[in-house]
Amino acid sequence: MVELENVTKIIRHNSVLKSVSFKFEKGNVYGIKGVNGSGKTMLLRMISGLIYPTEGKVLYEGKILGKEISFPKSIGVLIENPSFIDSYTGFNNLKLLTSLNDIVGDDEIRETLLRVGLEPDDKRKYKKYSLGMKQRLGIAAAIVENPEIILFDEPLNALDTKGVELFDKIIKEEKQKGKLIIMTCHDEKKLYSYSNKILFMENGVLKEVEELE
Amino acid sequence: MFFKVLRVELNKAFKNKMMLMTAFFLFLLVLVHSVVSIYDFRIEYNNFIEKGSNENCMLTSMSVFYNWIGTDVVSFYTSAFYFLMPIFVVLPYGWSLISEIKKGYTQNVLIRTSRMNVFMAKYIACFISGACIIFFSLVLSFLILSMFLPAIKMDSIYPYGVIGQGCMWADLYYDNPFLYCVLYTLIDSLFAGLIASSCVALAFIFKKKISVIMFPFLFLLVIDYVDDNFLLGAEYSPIKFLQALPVSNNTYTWVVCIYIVLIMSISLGIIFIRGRKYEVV
Amino acid sequence: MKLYKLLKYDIKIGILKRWYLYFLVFVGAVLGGLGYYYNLVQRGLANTKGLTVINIFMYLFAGKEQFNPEVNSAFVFPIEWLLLFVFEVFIVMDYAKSNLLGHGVQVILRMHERNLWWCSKCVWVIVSTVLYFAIIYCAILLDCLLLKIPISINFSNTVNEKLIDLSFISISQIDIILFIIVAPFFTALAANFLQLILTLFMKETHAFLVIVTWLFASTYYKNILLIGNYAMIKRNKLCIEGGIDSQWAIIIDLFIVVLCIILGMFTLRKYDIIKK
Repeated sequence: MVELENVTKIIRHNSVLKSVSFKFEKGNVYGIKGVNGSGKTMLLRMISGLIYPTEGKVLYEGKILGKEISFPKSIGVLIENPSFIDSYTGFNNLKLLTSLNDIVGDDEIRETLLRVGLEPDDKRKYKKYSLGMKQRLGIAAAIVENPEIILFDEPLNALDTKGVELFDKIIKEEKQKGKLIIMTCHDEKKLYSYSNKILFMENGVLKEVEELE
Repeated sequence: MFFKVLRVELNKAFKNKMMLMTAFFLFLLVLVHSVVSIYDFRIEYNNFIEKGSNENCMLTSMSVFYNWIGTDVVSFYTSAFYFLMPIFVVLPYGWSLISEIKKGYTQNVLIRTSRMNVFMAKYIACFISGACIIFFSLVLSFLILSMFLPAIKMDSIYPYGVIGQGCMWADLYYDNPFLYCVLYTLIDSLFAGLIASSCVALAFIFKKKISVIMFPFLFLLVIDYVDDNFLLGAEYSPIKFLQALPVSNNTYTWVVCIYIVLIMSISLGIIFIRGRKYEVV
Repeated sequence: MKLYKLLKYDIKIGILKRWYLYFLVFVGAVLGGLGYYYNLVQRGLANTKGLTVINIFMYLFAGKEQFNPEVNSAFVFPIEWLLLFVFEVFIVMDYAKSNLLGHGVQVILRMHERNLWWCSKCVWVIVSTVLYFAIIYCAILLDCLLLKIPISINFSNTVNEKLIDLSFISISQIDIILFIIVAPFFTALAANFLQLILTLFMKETHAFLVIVTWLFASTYYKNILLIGNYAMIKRNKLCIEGGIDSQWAIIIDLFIVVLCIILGMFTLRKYDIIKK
């Protein structure tokens, strides 16, 4: 579904990704592990189309990202700190985003908020949210429109035990729906429990791919 | 403890990219102004050599005390220097408190020392960074021009370098123009520092970094508008009275003093009131 | 359809949520108009025959006559004109870039097309500029209603000459429309688009500084490369020999706008959407 062909990315004379080649298939969960600064987040950005390769190609269903298409047709992302409108509630923030494509209605938004453990009728504005609540809203924004590809960058950050349990359930459900999920996580135990394959990044290089049963 | 915090702040104020870029841009402006002035001087000087004894060549128009960037009220570079000064002085470090509040950096500092230590050190660092950037620009301009232009004492001959009676330090301009330029350099640096350090107070009022950076500039433009249209008799706009020669009206000492007192007291007042009980949220 | 939704989003977040800025403009313009009337009263011109709303607009957009440094009088910049255009540029300064690197990431992913985002921002700039000038015109018209100044396409030459030293070689009603509506609008639009494109390459404050310096330079030098000249009535060929031709000015402004739009499209194609 998504293929990286010799992808290299240089930012300000630094090679953040070096000749990365890999094919991501639908219906799988891919975990990316590596130390800080190994290029995990850059890889996610590359797959999402937010940045383009200096060399090589990123293909989405055979089409080159950045040339034939700008972004994958159906994608949800949670990369770094999610950004929302401070003066809107969680519900209104999601409503604002979903109004762009009109794929989902209010009911689906409410359902998604409940899935991540947020109260749909909560009148608190986003600026009053705790860090964990902001993270939950970020996860909700990534999955609300039922995208085919979901990218999660450190999704368990700031989540409490209940939040992690809910996230476990989300991953299971989305995997069953046949989605392509790519995520990074420092909690190796969790990463291994979610994933079919683990990609090991080091200094921008894809060192190893581990297939899990 | 305060001096340690101050040292850290001063280090941050002077060793950042914005300080370098602003300094570079200002020095470039000063350099271009100097080159143009020296070039014009060469033409006038040659003219003087040819016709000096037969014509009144207005020697004082060639003086360094008339062509220095602080006094050259006719030049575009001087006008641009003073018009954009409120932005130039804020860019090196005025944004620092609002930026650190937004990024959450303040909590790292506040757990290690008292609030007032942090905010006062920030105030002083912003003041010094803003003041220095203007001070060195003005000094550089004077030094470069002194190497090429004669230091002729000014005469009160229209239209060159005329300062009205009662204007701030008017006699000094004619008796001791060098001291006049030094004093104006110090006044300009003082105001630059006050404008830059006012951003520390503004960080408690505005939530956006852009608002903190731009407010002094826009506010001074509004003051200039009010001065131009409603206030007569004296120069009340800092953009104009900081120039060492009168632009529209005469500059009076009491106006300058009132501004210094007002800016300082309002800024420090806000910092003391809001800073003492500042909460990291 | 997608573009329409994106426009709706931009107007909601980029204009309606920043209503306080436009409110400030309105208050400022009302006070400015009252200030103008105060000046008239001080100079005994308030009851001049023929004084109309056009006089106020001409005062706002008069700018400054070409400055001659040879005469050795100090350069006094036209503060009314500068304040008008500087504040306009300030309003559109940071929305696009902060949106691109913040909330806009989620938006742009849903649009699947970078150019859609860019088009929407271009339209947002146009709408903001129109709104800005509309607010100013409405505020001045309100002042005229309050002060019982006639609203007419005619104007008093006496007031212009005595208050702002403005006189015309010849002028028609179409020229008046060009001076007070068309030229300032297109110049502001060109400045805004230049700032918009510059923010893709540098910080918003630097882009603002560049544009403000350029506008300021326009008040000093009479040069066709300095677009501020196009919006100054005193620099027009109807006021001075060899002055700016309004029609050419508008064409150049439009050319700048189109160039910026095209440059933006090409730049965004390879732009890394990442906080630096």
